[in-house]
Amino acid sequence: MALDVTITQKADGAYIVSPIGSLDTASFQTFDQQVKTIIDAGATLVVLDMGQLKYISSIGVRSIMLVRNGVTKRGGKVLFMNLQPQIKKVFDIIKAIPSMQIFSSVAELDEYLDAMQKSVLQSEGE
Amino acid sequence: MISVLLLRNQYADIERLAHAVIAFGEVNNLPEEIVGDIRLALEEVVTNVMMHGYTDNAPHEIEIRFSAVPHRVSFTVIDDGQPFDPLSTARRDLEKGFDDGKIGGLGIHLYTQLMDTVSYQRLNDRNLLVMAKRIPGHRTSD
Repeated sequence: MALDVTITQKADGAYIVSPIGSLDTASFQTFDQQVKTIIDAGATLVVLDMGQLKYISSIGVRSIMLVRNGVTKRGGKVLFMNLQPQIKKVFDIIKAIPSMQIFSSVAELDEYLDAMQKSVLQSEGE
Repeated sequence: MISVLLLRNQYADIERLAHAVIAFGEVNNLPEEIVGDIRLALEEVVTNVMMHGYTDNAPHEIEIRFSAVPHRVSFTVIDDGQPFDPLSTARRDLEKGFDDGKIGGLGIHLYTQLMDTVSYQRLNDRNLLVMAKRIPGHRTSD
């Protein structure tokens, strides 16, 4: 019941973080260390792909909130993808995702990223 | 049927707890979602004890008693840490409200929501936390 974390860079400053397994007392430090590297690298968009996260405890929720705080502090965004029922239940109970956007597929996310980059290009062109 | 699990106050033992809950679920024909709820509730209780319960660095034992009867499961967590009533803490936190900066107390809120009843007492210098959950339509394999 360990945790693997894969991080994929999608664009400049934009990363997909996929925790795989259990995010709990035994594994949260692994997660914190891995995401710290992209926060330190200046990530402004972090997409948490929760599709392969089987289990989360309150300490895992705390780790997710730390990511959100680190990224939003510099005006960035944290988004969720593929939230599974057992994970969503935990977030629902502690009402931890009030304003976070949730994508159900990579295609939806890509559309969002496209639109965001177009708007950046437009504002730079003005 | 009652079974007993003894954990050391080390985070590595949380995994033994998870395995014990899964085995308890299998023996008693519990639905997967319920097993997930039990695992989470017990992990929250035990993690709190390990993190905040002790003022020394000595080894301690945390005892968890599992019990199942038709339509109902219950769990008792017994530790020899400092006196701590999580229920009065939970009431305080709910009144203050959670935000990103203050995420202590989330675990207590989680297990009180996941279980149907939670009660606390201090007995013989030990904390006893008893949690129970109803399981509609359930029959044990006994």
